[in-house]
Amino acid sequence: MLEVNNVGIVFGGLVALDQVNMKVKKGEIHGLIGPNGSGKTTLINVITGFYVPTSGEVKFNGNVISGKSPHLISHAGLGRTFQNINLFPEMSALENVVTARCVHTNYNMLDAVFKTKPFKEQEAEARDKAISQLEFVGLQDDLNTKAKNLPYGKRRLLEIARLLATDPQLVLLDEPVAGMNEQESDEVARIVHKMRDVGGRTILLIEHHMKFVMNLCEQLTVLNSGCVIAEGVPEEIQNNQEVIACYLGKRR
Amino acid sequence: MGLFILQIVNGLVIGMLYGLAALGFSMIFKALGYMNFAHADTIMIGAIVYYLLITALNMPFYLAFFLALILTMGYGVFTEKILFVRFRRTSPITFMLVAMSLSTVVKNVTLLLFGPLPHGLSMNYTDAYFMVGGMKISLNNFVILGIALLILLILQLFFTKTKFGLSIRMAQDDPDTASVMGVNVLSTRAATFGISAGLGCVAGMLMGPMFSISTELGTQISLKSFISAVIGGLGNFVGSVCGGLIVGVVESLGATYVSSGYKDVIVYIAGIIVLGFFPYGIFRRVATKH
Repeated sequence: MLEVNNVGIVFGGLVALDQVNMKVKKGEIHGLIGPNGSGKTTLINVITGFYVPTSGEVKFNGNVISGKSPHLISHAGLGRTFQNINLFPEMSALENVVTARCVHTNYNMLDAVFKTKPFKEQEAEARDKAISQLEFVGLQDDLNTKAKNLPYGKRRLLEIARLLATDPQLVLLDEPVAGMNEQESDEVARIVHKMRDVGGRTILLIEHHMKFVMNLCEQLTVLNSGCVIAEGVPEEIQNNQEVIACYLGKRR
Repeated sequence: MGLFILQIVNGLVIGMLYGLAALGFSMIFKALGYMNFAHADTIMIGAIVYYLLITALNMPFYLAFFLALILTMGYGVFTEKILFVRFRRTSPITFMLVAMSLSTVVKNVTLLLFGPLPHGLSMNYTDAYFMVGGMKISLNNFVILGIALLILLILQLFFTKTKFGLSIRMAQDDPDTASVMGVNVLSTRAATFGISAGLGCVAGMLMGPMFSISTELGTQISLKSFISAVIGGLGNFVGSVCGGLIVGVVESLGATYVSSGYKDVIVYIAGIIVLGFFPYGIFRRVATKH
């Protein structure tokens, strides 16, 4: 579904990604791990169009998407969350999710002023969809709470709900359980499974929480200093000498 | 008493126009995070184009009004697409220097084309007036106020009820998230510049006839509207208009009861005092970042 072919990106003199290859298959929960500064978020930024790669290409469903602007990639069916939560703080949870639908409506100003039928229908549809997304992540009791008043864990879930409202085929989650406790990260793991099993979406996630990654992901890619050093199922990765060396250091 | 009411009305009318221009400032500030010092040009261009269309081409004022508005909005979009968009990843200082340079060039080119002499344009939308306490209060003031309010109403509907308006607000709030939601951030940026230029243009067209139309008009109005935007809290749209009204009334009353020679000084001193008590502007809620 997603193919990253020989992607390289250079910032000034710094080689942030070097000849990165990665394949994400449809229906997979794929993990992208690596020490801090290894280029994981840079890779996500390249995939979602925030950075243009210096070399190589990214293909999504067979089409080259690298170099396109983020909104076109979003329309193509790729959605992402950010490492730092980017919600609209003064809006309620429901409104935050409804805004994600606004790009998909097609009424005009007169429709809205005179509250014509297409306007009402689309508004009701956007609202219903938003409510069902919020139920999906378990926020049905916080519909009218302002985003800034939600606890941290729920803000993360709200961001996921808002992302789902754009109906992406491939979901990229950047550290979805950073700063969460055991119970909350179990909840996220359950939602990620549900996104795949019920929603039929493919998931690519970055995470440092190893227990979470090893339990959840079916396939892992390990980055270190901008290069892929290992690929495979969690068991293989756990026993890979190079991966252990880059996380724990080499024995002299 | 009549004089007081007359001056309040005058202050509100002028203040409303400061408010419109301030809204233009505020909008760009909200979208980019820094000031667009080339905003003053849109005020001047609006007024001069309006004047030329009416006097040179003998256009009826309503036609001239729309044509000048469209041309100036086009100018706003043009500056963004040709120039400002290239500086979107540089530091704010670079952007502001580019804007100031553009402003200087545009002003001087206009000076060459239009000439240095101020021109008067008598624009009375109506001759009717009514008497309050022995003072003639012209209905013209209320026509101008009405036009300004109508424009604010249209803007309000555009921003709350249309898909594109909502997309613009989303992109102003958080461009990265908006682009992930499928909003074309470059086109909403261009639209922001267009709307901002349109607001400057309307302020210029309505205010030009009250003073005189020259290349200095933009500088005079934009300084006051800058103060209005800061008093109202940069990035706060309601605040900008209220800030404009405050500046207009303070200026008008100051000119009448203190000294008309010092009216600018009074406005700036009042601005400093207000900022002393409300460093983020009167209407700005301190931003909560999550």
